[in-house]
Amino acid sequence: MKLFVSGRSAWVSIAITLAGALLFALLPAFLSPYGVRVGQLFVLAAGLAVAWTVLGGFSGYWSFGNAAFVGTGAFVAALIELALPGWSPAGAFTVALLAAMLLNGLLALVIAWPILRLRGIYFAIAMLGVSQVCYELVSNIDALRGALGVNLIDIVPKDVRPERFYYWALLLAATAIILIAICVRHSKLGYGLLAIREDEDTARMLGVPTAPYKISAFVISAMLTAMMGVIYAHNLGYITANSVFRNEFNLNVIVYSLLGGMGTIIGPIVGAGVMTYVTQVLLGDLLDIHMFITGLLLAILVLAAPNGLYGIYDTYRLRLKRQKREAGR
Amino acid sequence: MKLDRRTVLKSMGAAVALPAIGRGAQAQATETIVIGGSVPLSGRAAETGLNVNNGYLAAQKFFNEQLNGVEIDGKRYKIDVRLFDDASDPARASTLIQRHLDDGVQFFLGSFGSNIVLPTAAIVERAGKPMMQTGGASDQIYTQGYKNIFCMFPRASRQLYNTIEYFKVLQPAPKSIMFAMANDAFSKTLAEGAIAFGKEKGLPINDIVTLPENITDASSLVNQIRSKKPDVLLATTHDQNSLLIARQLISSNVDVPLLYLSLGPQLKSFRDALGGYSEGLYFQQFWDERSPYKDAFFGSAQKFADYYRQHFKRDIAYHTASGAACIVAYVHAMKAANSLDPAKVRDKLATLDVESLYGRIKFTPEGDGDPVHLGSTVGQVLKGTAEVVFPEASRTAAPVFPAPKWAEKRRG
Repeated sequence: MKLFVSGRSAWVSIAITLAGALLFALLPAFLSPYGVRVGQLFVLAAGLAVAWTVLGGFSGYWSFGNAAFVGTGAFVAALIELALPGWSPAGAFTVALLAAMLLNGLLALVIAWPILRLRGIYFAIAMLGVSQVCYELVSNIDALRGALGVNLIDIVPKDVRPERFYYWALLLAATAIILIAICVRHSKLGYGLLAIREDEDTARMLGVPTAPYKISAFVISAMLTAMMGVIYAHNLGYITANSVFRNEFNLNVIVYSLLGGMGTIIGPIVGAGVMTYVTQVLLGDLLDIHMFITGLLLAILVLAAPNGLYGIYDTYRLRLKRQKREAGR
Repeated sequence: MKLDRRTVLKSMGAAVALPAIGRGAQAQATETIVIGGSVPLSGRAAETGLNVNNGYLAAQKFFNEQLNGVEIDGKRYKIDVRLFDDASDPARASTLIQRHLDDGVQFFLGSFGSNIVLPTAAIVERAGKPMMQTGGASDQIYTQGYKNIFCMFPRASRQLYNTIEYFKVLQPAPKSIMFAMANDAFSKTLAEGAIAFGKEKGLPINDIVTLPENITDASSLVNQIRSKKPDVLLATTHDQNSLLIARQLISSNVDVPLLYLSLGPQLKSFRDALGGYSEGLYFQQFWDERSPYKDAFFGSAQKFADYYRQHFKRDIAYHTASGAACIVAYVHAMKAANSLDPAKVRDKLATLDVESLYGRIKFTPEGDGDPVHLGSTVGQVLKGTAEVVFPEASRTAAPVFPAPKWAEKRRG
């Protein structure tokens, strides 16, 4: 296991994640169906944001195009299910999910070679382009059915409420993503990615295999994003290209990380929670101005806390530590 | 005022609690019929979403302020339309619809866009509540076996049925019909549905041409028309493509007795661009306020349009009228059921057959609009104005067929 994870803090993070997931899994028993659906949105957002963090947060390669993997994953799964008419829903879904993840990994591998040569804003814009190209292809090639739309199979067991089932499915996927992100963060790969984020040229000079590390993170991020995309699409039941190649997927994952704390795993989760609550619950009644208030809140938060909410906590924690040390002298 | 941490926390707490308190107060209100839903007021579908939204609100305002509500089973109720902005996001729309359901809302209005309508329709259907909508025309909504979802439009593949019926009664009967469809989902679905129905009706559909989604040169189509000389050319194309086809036919002096361009001639800008050459062109027209529709509440289509313009700044569109007609349909069904029980109202919606500001409201067993009564009408440019020429019930002017030739139009 040391190959993947090392250090006490990794095991603590894993234990906290599992305990948190268990706690969240119990929530539907206490929530209204609406609360469960808000929970779905939170878990989806958190999962996508942590998947993005594996590349964007750890290595500093900010992708503005992760919707490409959400959408491609969703459509690959939908088309594979169409091609398996006689299969049981569970069987067809499993095959479709695995195929969507593998094909997205392959897609990432193919585009990684040219695209990861770019850095900073050039990489970000190139990924936005990839997302747009995928959207156009799925929309315009008849066989892919992006414009007409496609139904996904119903995988909800008979006696389970659909909103609860998809809440648990998304929670399971998000938990898996967080655990994988923890493993990556505390592995040799993770330290290499952090080194790349701090100074890629120096990291390479010191022997960090930057290209394979970046490609690995990119492929992992794409596969995990596709997994969320497949479950999200099944939750909708019917998708068109407009349903899944959404610019919100591209931008919100970055907003969650900025808000919660860039480069951390807890940051995007906290950011997703805050944003989901603000946009879906708190401002849900303010029809005309909710977008304005959301933007304003974000601008204030980014100005007041450039390192995100985790940054505030970290500063507070360090200050307390210093005060204790000084009091002890 | 000193802004310390405690004050900030208190304010934030109050801000968090307020919406919940507000919702509680709303739920206690009596003698209102709450109709919930979500509409895209922002995002990709906002432009049309705003039209739908205004239609819903115009009807609510009219019923409450002009008619002092509606009377059901001896009681008078105000209509309370509660709409959220779903930001053109199907997941957000689903969450908001669930919120309405949890709040006890019994009747629903639909969003705009099939990709949003279908997921929300699934939730409403499962809950056994009716939904009236005017934004989801994808065929796939009406093949799910839903019993509670009703649409003011026919499904996409049936929207040109009136056009086919018109071709059937043309005198002299056309001997050859050519279809040209742009390679985009809407245009293809529209054309393929019309071709299937036309063949079923025995029309001589001899040629089908597929065009690129964005046409830069229509010469190959013009050449085919020149050699095959169809009596009718029906092109399912968007306005820019329609304009290019018309211009190339004019410059090549290739005439078609009936040139039908699904989108384009209904727009004033299109007619201005072609000048006198637009005379006689046919097109797809969903609604015209001058159509002689009688409405039990508004009086007529024209009176609805006048009322709307008095109270709303946004231009009226056919989605505005169809949105208002959704509320009208609900009121008719509630009155017919003499009850606010959603199951009874649903049953009355299913058998509804009334004339309204939007035309005759009648649904198929699957819930989409009757293709003849709620399908698009046939429009024609006559004396520079977009008129409705078919069916008779919607007619604002008599059709001209064959249309004048380009040379005649050139002479003025």
